[in-house]
Amino acid sequence: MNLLEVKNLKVHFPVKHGLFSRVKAHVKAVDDVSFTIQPGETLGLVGESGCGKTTLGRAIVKLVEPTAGSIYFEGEDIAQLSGAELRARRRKFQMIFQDPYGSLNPRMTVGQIIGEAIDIHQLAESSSARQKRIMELLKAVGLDPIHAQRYPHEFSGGQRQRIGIARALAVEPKLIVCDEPVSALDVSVQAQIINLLQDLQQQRGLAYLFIAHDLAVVEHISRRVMVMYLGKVVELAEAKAIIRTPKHPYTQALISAVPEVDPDSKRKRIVLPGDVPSPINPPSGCPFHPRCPIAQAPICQVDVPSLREVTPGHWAACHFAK
Amino acid sequence: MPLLEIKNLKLDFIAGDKSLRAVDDVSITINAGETVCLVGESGCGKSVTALSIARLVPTPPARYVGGEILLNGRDVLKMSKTDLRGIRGGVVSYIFQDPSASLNPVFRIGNQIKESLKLHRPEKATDEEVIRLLKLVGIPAPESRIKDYPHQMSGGMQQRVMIAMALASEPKLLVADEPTTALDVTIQAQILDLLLDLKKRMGMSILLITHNLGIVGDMADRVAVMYAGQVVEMSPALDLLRRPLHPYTKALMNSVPKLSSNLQRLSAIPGNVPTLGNFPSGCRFYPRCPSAQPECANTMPQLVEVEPNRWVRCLYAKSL
Amino acid sequence: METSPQPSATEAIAKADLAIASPWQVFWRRLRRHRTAMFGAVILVILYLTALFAGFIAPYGYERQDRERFFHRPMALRFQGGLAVQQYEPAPGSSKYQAVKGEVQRIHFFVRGDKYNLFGFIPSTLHLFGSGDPKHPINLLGTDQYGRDIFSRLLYGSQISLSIGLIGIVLRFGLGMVMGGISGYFGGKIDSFIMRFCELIMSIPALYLIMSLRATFPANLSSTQVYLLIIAILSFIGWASSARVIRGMALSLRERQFVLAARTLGQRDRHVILKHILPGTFSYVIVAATLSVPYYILGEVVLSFLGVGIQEPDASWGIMLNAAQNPEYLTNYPWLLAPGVAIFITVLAFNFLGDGLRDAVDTKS
Repeated sequence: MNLLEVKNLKVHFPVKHGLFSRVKAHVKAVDDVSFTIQPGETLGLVGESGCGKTTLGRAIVKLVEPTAGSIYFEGEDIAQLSGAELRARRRKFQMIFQDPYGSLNPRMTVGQIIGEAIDIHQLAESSSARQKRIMELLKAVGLDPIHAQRYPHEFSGGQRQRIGIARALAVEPKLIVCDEPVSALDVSVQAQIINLLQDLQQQRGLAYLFIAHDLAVVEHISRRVMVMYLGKVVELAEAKAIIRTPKHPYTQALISAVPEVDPDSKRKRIVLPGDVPSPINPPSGCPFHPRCPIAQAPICQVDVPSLREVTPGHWAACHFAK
Repeated sequence: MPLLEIKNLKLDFIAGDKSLRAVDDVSITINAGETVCLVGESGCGKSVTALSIARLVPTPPARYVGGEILLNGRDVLKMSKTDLRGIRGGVVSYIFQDPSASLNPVFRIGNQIKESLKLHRPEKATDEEVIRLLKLVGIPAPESRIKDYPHQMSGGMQQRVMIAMALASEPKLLVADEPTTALDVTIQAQILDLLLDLKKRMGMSILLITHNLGIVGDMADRVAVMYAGQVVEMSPALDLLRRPLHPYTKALMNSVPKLSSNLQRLSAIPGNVPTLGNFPSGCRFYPRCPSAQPECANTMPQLVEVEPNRWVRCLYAKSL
Repeated sequence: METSPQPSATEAIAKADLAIASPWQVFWRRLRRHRTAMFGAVILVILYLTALFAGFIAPYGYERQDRERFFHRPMALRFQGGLAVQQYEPAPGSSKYQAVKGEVQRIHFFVRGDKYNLFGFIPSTLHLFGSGDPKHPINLLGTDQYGRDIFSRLLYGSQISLSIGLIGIVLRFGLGMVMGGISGYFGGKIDSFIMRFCELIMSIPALYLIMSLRATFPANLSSTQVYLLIIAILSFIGWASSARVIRGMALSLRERQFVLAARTLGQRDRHVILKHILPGTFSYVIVAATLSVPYYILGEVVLSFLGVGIQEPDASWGIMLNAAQNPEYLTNYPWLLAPGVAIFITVLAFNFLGDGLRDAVDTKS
């Protein structure tokens, strides 16, 4: 059974104007997105700023309310749940945030931060059991248990990210949405955190939705990768397949734009013209057509391409993908 | 004569009765028309070094303790305020990571570029010249964009405006401090292309500061890698990427995932980046170094030329 | 790349210094280094201690009148066989007093005198000092138009004037934090409703609001009731502006990732507000509260001055100043302005402390 199945998910934000807050338009941050995640699997999610990847991640952990669609978690639709019913299910899906400086309350010790998670779901019978769990969690993420007494500002970025991971693990989730977990870290520390996430996945059978803009990191950690552009999924395939044989012209450009460490690589860079259009007024037809090197009139301007299975397991939303 | 020659630069930050060495014995040369990349992580001193070229680091809290910064043969550290004004924006121009913070939000971008022209080329402070500069940096329909305010432009466009402002004075050296870090990959590719193109057309030198080794391969002629206030390796860019010599450079390159690499596990560098005031004695990388020897804890290695044009600060550079 | 562009050395050193310190310890250390703030704090401690022990320190009760000595001038301290005060006699042909050369009144310590209740419930007659001779009282700051000792009344008055501020800010910022926190955290309709209500309160000129609120209550209230009423009125007017600021902070704190993390864990809204949102506003609240204490002290003065505050014979700094508003008194008996000096010192001390608190909470980290 799928751990997570997202069906036709939409998250639209109203854009309000004027004195009486009339709704003028909608930002279609997430527009008709469907996908699944298996237990213990990592699904990578890439895209540029404004493509809706963060909103999608937050909708899945119910930090933003979906406008339409379903989110089946272990077969149960959580999209419309709220209040106590939702709170009880929250421990099954957790989130790791991008900003290691902003994601920990500066006024609480590390022990209090992790302890809060334990307390909410009453996961320790006694205060000594609670203490023991905090120590175990700190050890599990590679920190010294004596750090429980300290405050976040005493730690480096990488260590803070470890604390954030320990907090998420405290409630024994099955899915963790990782929203750019390494992009704010020093280069030499990023690998530590990526390795830690992989180790924890193997030990605990966790599934990840791994959101990042760095394609190389996403390819490394993910089994399958999903590419978003202007609120829509444009390509979804096995990680190796999407990097080696991208089907969508946007994915092709994205991959070619990654700066290469290897000076002898023969990759040719495709430089896309223009900027990502505003999601308030996305282009008609295929949202990518104004920047697309292979767009053809009139089909790309008129028809919205649907996400179709081009080759087995490889989905792309382009009229010309094959 | 090289355009810029930084020789044994030493800079301290003073706070209270403490004085912390942020830049320690850094030497870098940049020749006319050359692109040099300065690579390093947060707090390694790369930005402070770059800002020092036009003496833009406020003193105090900073204090120059030693060394020289020769720009066209004249020492910037000994210049008068009047001479410095001529250097800043005249010979050396800067662009920074966050263009939205560098542009004044209440002025039209055309006027901001014109201000820069008035300072350095008053005879050219015209709309025509502003439009020419905007065209040069690839802003479409510049005639209509000069009336825009910064917030009406995307991050990529704002960075182009910053570059246009920097070019207004026709500098000999453009210092770009993480110019694409805040931008998306596809926009980053556009800006890097633009910089390469401008360098060819205007014959200027570029000092590009980055933490991204991938950018080095695309842009640089030579690279200096900094760690904890020191240059640990300096090489022609391709040589360094093909065969790094310093253990830190090697470890850094191995820890970054590469596209289609099939690696199951990344080789992470243990520990944390040392912060100012907590630099280890001896070799500053030894606590994290995979090939550290007992001697590394006690002896600070010097930057030595181990092969022609390849400088490394490691006691065991030759044997590794 | 940790994106903070250039961590300054000062910050780095400060961080190294402050390792293994809670945010409160950091705050306290910075405050202690602030000279004027510590000066203000010491003054305030002294003022509040004297208010607490007013009955003991004051040589007389606040009601005691001396019919022989209206408008007696302050008595000069002398050192003549121990601590003493100059003796005075009425000057012939005027209502003023003149010194009697060579005659002093010894000050005795720990003498018995007027009855009072220490802390409001321990009855006592022991006073720190006095003359021990009803014929020759000691009036360090002179007497008023009823022959009451101004020094004693100043001390009793400080109990009202100094406590009114403390209770006032607790009410004002308590209400402000609850309403502002709810408004900012939930947003939407709740936010609009609370904020429009705040604007309504803020749009009415404060003086009219005070007067009309006072008018809704009967005129013949006891001093205690009036005292509570003044606090309630001033807090009711003040909370709206605090709530607006706190709401703004809550609005931005709501988007902070540690708040999102708490919500993802399944924390209840009430706890999120109490544990994560409101502590983030403390830095503002502490500073704003300190700086708004003078507003309550002065508010009481204004109300008493207008005749709708504390009633005679009870003492407060406001009612004492009210008595001094006659221009003839002011020119002839300037010592009636002593409560004005006391208010000045208190307000200044609170502002010194508030400035220091502001600097101490202003950390970048």
